[in-house]
Amino acid sequence: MNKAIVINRTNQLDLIEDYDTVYFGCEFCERLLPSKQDFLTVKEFVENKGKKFCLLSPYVTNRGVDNLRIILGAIGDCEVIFNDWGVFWMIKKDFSARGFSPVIGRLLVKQKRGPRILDYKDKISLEAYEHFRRSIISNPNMVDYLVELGIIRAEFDNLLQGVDLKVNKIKGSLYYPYLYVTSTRMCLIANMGHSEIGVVGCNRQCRGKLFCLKSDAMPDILLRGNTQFIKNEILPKELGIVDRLVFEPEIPY
Amino acid sequence: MKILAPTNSPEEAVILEKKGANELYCGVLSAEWKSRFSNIGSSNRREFQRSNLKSFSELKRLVGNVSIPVYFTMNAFYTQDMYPDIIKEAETAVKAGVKAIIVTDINFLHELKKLQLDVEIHIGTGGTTFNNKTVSFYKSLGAHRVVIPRHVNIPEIIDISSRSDIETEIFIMNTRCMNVDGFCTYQHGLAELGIAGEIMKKMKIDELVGGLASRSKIAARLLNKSGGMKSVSACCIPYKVSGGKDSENRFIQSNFGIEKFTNHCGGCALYELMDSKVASLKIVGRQKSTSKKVRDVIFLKSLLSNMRNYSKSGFIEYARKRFIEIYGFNCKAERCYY
Repeated sequence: MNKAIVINRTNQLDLIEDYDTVYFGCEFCERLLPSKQDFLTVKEFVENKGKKFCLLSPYVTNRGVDNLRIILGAIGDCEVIFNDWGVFWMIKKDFSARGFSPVIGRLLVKQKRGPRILDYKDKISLEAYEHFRRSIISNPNMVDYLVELGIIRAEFDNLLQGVDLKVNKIKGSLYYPYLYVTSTRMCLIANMGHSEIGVVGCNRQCRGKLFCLKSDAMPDILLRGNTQFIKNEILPKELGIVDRLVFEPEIPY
Repeated sequence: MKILAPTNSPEEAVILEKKGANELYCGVLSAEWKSRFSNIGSSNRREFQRSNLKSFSELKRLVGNVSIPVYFTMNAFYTQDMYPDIIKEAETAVKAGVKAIIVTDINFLHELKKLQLDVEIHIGTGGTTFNNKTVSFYKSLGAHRVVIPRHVNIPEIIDISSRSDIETEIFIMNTRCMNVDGFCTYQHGLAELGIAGEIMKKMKIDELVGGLASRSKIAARLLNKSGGMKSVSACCIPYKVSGGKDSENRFIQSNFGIEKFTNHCGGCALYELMDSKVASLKIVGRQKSTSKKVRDVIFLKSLLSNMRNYSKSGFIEYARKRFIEIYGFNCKAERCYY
């Protein structure tokens, strides 16, 4: 089993020692994407240690596409975890000779993460409950299609209700202990103090802030920046296609 | 720009066309589908019974009742066991005469392309089209239109639509979800499960919540504090927030709850979009009452007809005046979409 770690900042490089693979970048916000120089620094550091480097990318606006184009133009030959079909299309169409291996990210595999499903297990059919353990990757036709598109790997969250990881022909990575539940561009941290929330600019003030949302309706929700997470520390017994475990030392940015 | 209105009945579709809707969209959530996958595993991301037509014969009647195009929502993400049924449903909808199917699942899109059905493909908001590279990707898969997510501001909408070589559609009225639709994985419609579910199915939850939140903020706050609406949506849960300064925690807390479920309006933004390449304006709310849908269509139609007669400030003043005339209360009780 390959051991990977997610880092979002260059000052986390001291955490990578025990891992084979290092994920660097950001999945949830284009404004938190590290600079081109940071990507180059981390890639060189990781590869000099004999480890594998993977670039994490978020969903992006046209501005984010332009920024990623600069980063991808400077970096070659690595896995790119994409969470936006436009990023995939840019890699395929504009960077086909740069040796990138596209990996479908956890925002695009469409797992059903809402934790309240646990309370409704007895109120729906077994077939319906199984649906909530799956993703679009559970479908062999989808996997054939991804392979046809040149996508070599899929990224999964460790759902509270269990994960169906039985499909073949594609490799899987499983993130732990944090699974994302939802994300927004109307970031509450960026909007703090505004009477109406909207898509507004920011100074990355979410960094260093973490909120816990408690209720009797579901497990604690952890809000960092524009994205909500849940913690699940119990790994599934059946890992199926998963050949890489991706450790998140903190809630990702 | 066309007005795209939601509908949930063949009779209502006729009224909406007469009032000025240029396009309609609807979905079917059949008893067979619900018995297998439940309403929360809905085939079209509307889990509430009131949002949907009950059968494909109703859909056929609806399409036959109107002369404007009808678009059919198949905008969920599907797992393997659902496939024989959704392919059959797509074929039945095309036979019923729908002009387009609204899709978000890449594999379903791929399967539809292979079937070569005589129907347009629209990429729903769940397709998360935030940039023109994504537009190009969907175009390569045969898409005729993309819906730009709610979480794109006006300059970004103008930019995407001006660089797009397929049609673009935006949201303009109602249900401005806080989270990105295509990335949000909370379940909805849980309120219709269990013993209380049969009562909830008959209640006009959306009207109750939207109406209450718009007209009585105190009542909405009390209902929210009681936790009475938490099974409707995770965004209605009265969370206790910790981790930040008191003022920060209070701010986060204040952005969850039914007070935030007002019927947002993007009327004033039409002025800035006047010369954009946006093809269609989507009114959200298949589950809403016919009278609300009619008011939304009339309101937008009057703004579209008159926007070139005003300066920007004059148009905003006109839009606010029309709002009061049509809805009977000040637009400030609601919230701006953009």
